[in-house]
Amino acid sequence: MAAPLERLRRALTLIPLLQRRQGMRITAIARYLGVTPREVSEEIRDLVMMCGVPPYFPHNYIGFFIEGDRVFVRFAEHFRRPVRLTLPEALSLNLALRTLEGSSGRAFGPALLGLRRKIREVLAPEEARSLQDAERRIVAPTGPGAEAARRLQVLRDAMARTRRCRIVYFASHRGALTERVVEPLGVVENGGDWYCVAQDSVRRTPVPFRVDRIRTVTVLEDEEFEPPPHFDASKWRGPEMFRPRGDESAVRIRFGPEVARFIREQSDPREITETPDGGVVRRLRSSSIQWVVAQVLRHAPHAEVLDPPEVRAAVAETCAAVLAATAPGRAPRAAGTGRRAGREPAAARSRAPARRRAGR
Amino acid sequence: MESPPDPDGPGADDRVEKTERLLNLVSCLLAARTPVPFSGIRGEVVGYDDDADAEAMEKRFDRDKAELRALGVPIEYVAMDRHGNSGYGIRKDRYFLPEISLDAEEALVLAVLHRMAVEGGAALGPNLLSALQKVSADSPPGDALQSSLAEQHAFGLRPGRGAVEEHEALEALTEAVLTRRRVRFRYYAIGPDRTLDRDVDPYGLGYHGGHWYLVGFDHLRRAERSFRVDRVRGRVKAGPAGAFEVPAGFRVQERIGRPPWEFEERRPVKGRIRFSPAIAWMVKENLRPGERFAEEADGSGVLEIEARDREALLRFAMKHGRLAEVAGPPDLRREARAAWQATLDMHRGAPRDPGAGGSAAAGRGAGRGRAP
Repeated sequence: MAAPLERLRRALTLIPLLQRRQGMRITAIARYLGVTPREVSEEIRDLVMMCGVPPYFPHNYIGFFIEGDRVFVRFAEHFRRPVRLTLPEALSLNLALRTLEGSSGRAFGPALLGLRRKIREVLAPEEARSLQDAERRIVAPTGPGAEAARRLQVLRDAMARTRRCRIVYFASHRGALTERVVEPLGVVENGGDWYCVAQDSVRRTPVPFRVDRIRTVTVLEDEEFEPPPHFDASKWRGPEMFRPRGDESAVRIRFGPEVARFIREQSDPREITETPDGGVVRRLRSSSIQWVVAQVLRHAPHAEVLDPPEVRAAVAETCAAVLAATAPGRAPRAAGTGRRAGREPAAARSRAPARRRAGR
Repeated sequence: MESPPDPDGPGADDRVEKTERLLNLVSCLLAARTPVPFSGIRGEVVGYDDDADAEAMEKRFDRDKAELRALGVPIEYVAMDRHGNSGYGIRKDRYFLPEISLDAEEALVLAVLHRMAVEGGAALGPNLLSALQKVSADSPPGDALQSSLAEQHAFGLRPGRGAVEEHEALEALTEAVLTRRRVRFRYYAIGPDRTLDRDVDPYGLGYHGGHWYLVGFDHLRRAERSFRVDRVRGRVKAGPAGAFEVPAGFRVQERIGRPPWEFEERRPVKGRIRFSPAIAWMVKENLRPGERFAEEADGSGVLEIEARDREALLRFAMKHGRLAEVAGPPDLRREARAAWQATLDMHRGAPRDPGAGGSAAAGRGAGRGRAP
């Protein structure tokens, strides 16, 4: 059972809520309070026994009535409204809104601004001043990423109206821009990045697309789609985002002592084995060779794929290609010089058709 | 009803449970039209009707008032109202939450945060959940359209390991920033890979790239520093309020979001990285002040950055694989080639046993040239 003050806080929220919405279902109350339906029933049972005003005649007790799965309240008119926001509550909500703002850029901008203003308006004057101070000193700058925020906005709008979208997307596993038509089902924030979970109109399985890698979105106004009946974006939160699809292979990467601390911090400790030289070996499962290659390269030259051999080969091949393209004597394809020495890298060649489509 | 002993009231009668006593007290004062003298509480309100002596009863009342105030319930003493009554009361304009009307998008944001606070992020603490319940009291989440829209959104807000600790540190630091309290905490600095006690005047907090940062004056280093809040270990201890002044013109947003290659104190190198058209547009969209980007006709582009940490800059270029190339200056380009060569050597042939230690790669041949 929750601590006494926590139960009191819940009761002071529940009683005015029930007065406004007589007959609310127990399951809805449980969702609202963030407890189980069983806890709601227990708490109501306790409240029935406890609360009233002197001289404690029957009508001086707050009365709760449960009919089936619906709850009614009587004799509680003096609890007309919930308790005002306290400063810690306002600050906590402000932190959450700031976090959201910092990761979504301006996609939810007006709503976040509006909420922050409304919170300030319902605080007592002194607390409103503290919150205003917090607004200046606790911030989430939204500098770059304005374009990505705009695309997120377009995708959300298409999602709400169940319209297909044509997107040009940088697919990291192919190292190239690709074009496809997708059905946007949900948007998910994960560690500062936004993803659109969308169903490929051909393969019919939901896949997350990182919004900052979507170059263009075109809403196909004439193509309405039927959303799946029970899509729940929260299933895609956190590690769920990279849920196994069944085609992963076991990967082992060795990291040298120079970078091991970053790997220890980011990884599930169960994936990590220490090595005698102060480095670590990380075991994971991945279906994307290119993703693993990128993990190795971002720690180069202190990371090595141990297994499987085809991923080792992919790293070696990438290295060889870059070395060939940047060989001494070969002029860098730098801007400003006007020189265009060297052949087009392999990745750029394979990407060309996608770029033509993108420009359409 | 059987009740557990009141843990913070050794002298109190244990007959009535604390939640019940407090709710009765609030109920009595809210329902009363005139101030209630203490004699109308003692011996009357259930929870104040036992045979504790006067002193114990007053102590109990003082403690209850303080706890209720922390919950936002202001119990005040009214010396003499216009009818000549004295006693305790709750001013409804200070107790009741004013009406809040929300537009659809605002209600959606609250509904999604609410879902997150309930499902994934109980770690974010009871304050957030309670705030969300209150703010959405006039448009509670639950109507069908809104909840199906809410289900299409999910905010991660850092679930997983350390989320509870991070949130506790964040709330403590928020309070310290606002009241200018000097704080002490254990901090894991990932650069030197060491955990040390830090002693900081907290100037501000900022969120960037999925992490919260504290910026302040570090008494250990005698300079301004930033600290990633999820690397704070254990509790944050705060000193008295008003302990320092924030320097004039300090803006926290200017102090966070620096890329890793700016963190060293060495002489800066002007690096140039060329990005292929597949990703150059992304680089361009995320330019920071002071970075220059020259676009070419084919969609590729060259980013020019000042880096104090060459290795960090090299890794930033290399993680893009074939899609990026260090274009200059020549010495940085040579270093990049050396790192590429070392990585290639490491991946030729069979891997060596990591248990054996050491570093140089061995073997050659087998892996080379095979297509993925």
